[in-house]
Amino acid sequence: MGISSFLRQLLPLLLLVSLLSSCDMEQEIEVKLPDMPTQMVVECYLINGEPMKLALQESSSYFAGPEALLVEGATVTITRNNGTPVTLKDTVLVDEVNRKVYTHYSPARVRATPGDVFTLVISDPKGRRLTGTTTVLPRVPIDSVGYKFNSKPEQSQEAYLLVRWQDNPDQKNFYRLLVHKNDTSGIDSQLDAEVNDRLRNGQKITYTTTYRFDRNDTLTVKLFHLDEAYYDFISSVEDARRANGNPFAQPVTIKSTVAGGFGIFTHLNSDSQTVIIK
Amino acid sequence: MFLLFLFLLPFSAAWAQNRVTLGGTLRSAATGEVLIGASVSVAGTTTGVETNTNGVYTLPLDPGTYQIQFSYIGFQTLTREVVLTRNTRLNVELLEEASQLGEVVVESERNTFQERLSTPQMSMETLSSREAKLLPALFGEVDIIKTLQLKPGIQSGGEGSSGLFVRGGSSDQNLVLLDDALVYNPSHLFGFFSVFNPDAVRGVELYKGGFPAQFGGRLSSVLDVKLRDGNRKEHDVSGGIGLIASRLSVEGPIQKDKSSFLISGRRTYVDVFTRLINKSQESDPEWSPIPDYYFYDFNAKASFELGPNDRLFLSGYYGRDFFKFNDEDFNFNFNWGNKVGSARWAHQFSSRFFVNTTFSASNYEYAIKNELDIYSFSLTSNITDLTLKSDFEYISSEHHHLRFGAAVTDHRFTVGRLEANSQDGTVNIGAGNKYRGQEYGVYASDDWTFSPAFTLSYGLRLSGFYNDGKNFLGLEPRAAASYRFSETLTLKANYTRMFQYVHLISNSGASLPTDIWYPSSPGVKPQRSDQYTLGLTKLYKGKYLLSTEAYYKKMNRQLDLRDGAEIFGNNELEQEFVFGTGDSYGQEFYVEKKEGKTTGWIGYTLSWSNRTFPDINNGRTFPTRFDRRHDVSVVAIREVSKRVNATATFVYGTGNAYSLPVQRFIFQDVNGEDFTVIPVYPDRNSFRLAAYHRLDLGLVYKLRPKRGTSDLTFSVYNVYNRRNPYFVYFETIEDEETKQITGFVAKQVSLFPVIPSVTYNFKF
Repeated sequence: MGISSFLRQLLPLLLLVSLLSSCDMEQEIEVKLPDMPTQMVVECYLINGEPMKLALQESSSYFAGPEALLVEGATVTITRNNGTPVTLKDTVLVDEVNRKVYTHYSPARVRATPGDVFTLVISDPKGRRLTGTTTVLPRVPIDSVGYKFNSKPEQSQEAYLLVRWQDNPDQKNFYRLLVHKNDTSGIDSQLDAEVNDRLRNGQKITYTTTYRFDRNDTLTVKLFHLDEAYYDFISSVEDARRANGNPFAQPVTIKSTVAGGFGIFTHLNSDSQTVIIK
Repeated sequence: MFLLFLFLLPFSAAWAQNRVTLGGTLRSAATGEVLIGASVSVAGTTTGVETNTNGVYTLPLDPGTYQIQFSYIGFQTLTREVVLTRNTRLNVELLEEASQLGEVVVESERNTFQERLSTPQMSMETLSSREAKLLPALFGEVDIIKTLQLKPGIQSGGEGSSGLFVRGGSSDQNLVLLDDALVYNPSHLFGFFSVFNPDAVRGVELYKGGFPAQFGGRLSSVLDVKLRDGNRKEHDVSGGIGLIASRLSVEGPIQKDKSSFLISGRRTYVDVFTRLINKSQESDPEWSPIPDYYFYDFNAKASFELGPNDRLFLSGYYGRDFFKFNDEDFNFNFNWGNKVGSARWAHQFSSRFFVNTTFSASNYEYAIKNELDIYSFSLTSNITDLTLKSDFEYISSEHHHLRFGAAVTDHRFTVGRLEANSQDGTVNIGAGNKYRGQEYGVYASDDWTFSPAFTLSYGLRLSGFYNDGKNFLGLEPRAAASYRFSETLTLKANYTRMFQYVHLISNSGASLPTDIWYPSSPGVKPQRSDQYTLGLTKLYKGKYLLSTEAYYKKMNRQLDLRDGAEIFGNNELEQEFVFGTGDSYGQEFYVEKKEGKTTGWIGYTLSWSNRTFPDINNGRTFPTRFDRRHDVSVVAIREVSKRVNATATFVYGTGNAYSLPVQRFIFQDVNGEDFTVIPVYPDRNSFRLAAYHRLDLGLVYKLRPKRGTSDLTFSVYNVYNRRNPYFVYFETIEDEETKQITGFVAKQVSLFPVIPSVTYNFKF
């Protein structure tokens, strides 16, 4: 909210001081990092009607080569409500449209209803074991999506976007709102916001963006209903990413939803609407 | 509590019948301002006293004829013959020295050093505005807090910061008093400048330990700042024009020799230039405008002599920092600042018995306002205090100097008041809490001169805090002893316990204006510290004061926030708190020379500062960000001629402890459009930034205007253009065309390169 945008604007002011001289106030340095054992990192999103697939990698020393390290010979299973475990095969899949890479796959499609519990177990030949569980939440429908232009001349007008939905008063709720622009180059992310109902329990929640959309933009708005663990994970990932390069930030521990490594294992449910800014 | 006082009374009964008292007030002959901490002594002996905060001295002596010497830094020493047959009042005015640090002040320095040897008070630094003005800091701005950071045991938060980290304490553990009123946030612009305008300030005393019993409420230091009273004899206008700020003061008598006023103000004008830059770039669509930033502050003081035994002082401060970002659609305003006021009535019952009664008010607040079309968002926090206190001072004999008193403060807190609204009523969110608490304390202490060599200072403070049906009590013993082995060598020891009932909640490693003050409550116990100090003070060749102090400080119930805590708009803030302990220890070395053409000091501190929280860093002890193993400062002031003073300051400090990621992983996220690199952090503060060191040079050149005085102050900050680390981050290198990640590098960001500046100061 206000604070983070304040801090973002503060930095140029601080660095303005360096305008006083033409010196570059930023320089490359050498940092010696201690050797620490690497850990398994998993990303697995279960989506109703889609095959089970996940990406498994190894964390790497910060200054190691840029390529992601794969985990060799891992056994991956997903179980629904104490049913028969489904084994995901070690197969590298590339999703060209969404530009995603998966390392494990099973053609078994996800069938989930709210309240179902899924369990993930990964073990590898080094004896490491990574586990996670997730409970399926009901979808929360978007009430309405709107937009409004600012008062600039028509050619340079920009609009803000407004999304509304109803919060369930009986529980703590967590949401993630993603907005994409559909264009020829594929997906173009416009907004990624994590929202909770702490101050708006049971109310109609309204989320507004800044003025940033142009005439004729076609926007897809997706509202995800998250559990607290996923909300904490995505917030900690975002905080950790921001902490690197922010002198005011404290270091952040990644709050994984899995044990025995880093990562996320969750069921995704979302409601989406498309709007054309006219 | 007052049993202690009763216990002391027999000593005062021992007041020798044949003893008489010489007492009075010391003032500047030029301005009529009282001189605090001036030395009054019997020439040729070690018998002497210092003037108190009202400039009053009390010297018990046998009847007889004496040569009494009055001296004060920067003033000509005056010797008067006094024939004492009964209690005598002798008010004295001292003439200012033309040269600020010339030979003639030798005597007063000797007396100051003698005082340091004879008092059991340790762990205290004093600095006058006069001294600070010779040592300009960043952008040529004189800053008394930054100059204090050059003393051992007092660390800055880093580049440009005026945050104080005293003996391993946190920046909220400093009791900052401006004319006896509490100042909650003593910095402008995130600590680049302190709120104390050097033109209005007379001087500061900083206690790092050995806290006298009249002070309480903070764990690690007391910063006692006094404003000048203003000229009682004639009107003066003074000021300065600097690179980024200007200041102006007016002072003079309200009624000649009876009362005076002082009004002082300053403002920065960087915003004028940034607006010009923004305007010139208006046509560039890529240009992202530099936000507006400025601050201003005002000090005002009036002092009145109500009668021979009564004086009244009114003192006020108002300051605001502004940070604005406005364009057609988006409106972001952020302002913060202190409002401080005090009224002090000083009454003298007799030449040996004084009382100061002070009523003060203090407020700190910040407000962030954000507007977009019909939506508005605001976030405010504030704390408001009202304090009433009385401090009595009774010099019962030359062996006993008693102090006792009481204070009560009403605190009101508004914590994280958040409002979000829309004009159409579809959005209406409010959050935040109001708290109220009462803090109180009573104390008594005695400085007992047991023998010429042995002095004991002991006291007790009973403090307490009431909030939400819960009452906390704290018993704070204070004890100091000094033993003088010889004329030139003194051993001192000290123990103090302190309690702190209000806490600063900070979600950043640095001090930001958005940090929130929070009261002790049923869920948040008061902080407590115990500090032990042992020291030696030695006068070498009559002109070098050498001292060393070793300290150990244990801090309990330290407060921090859990990872990822949300402190804004959170109605259950206490759930985000975690509690732990801290300990710090080290040894400080100090050499000072105040005599001769070249004066200055060298300070060195070897120290450790750690914290342990069960919920942070998996319970493992970690160093604080400002844990500084080695800290060196060298200050040299050279009187080149009557018109030119040259200064050099060098500082060296072990790099700040810092957290850096050791590993990373790739995160694809739900969409996978852009991979992001997520850093994995190890133990908190497990890395060290590169060492900090810097040399500053300054030159004060006195001009010869037709009227009044003026000077040009030249300074060069960071002479050899050292790239001191401000922070370090890891950058991802991408191929420009393919956007493929090709590697990672560490980058270090520095803030201030070599900065020359010039300031014109005037007084007429």
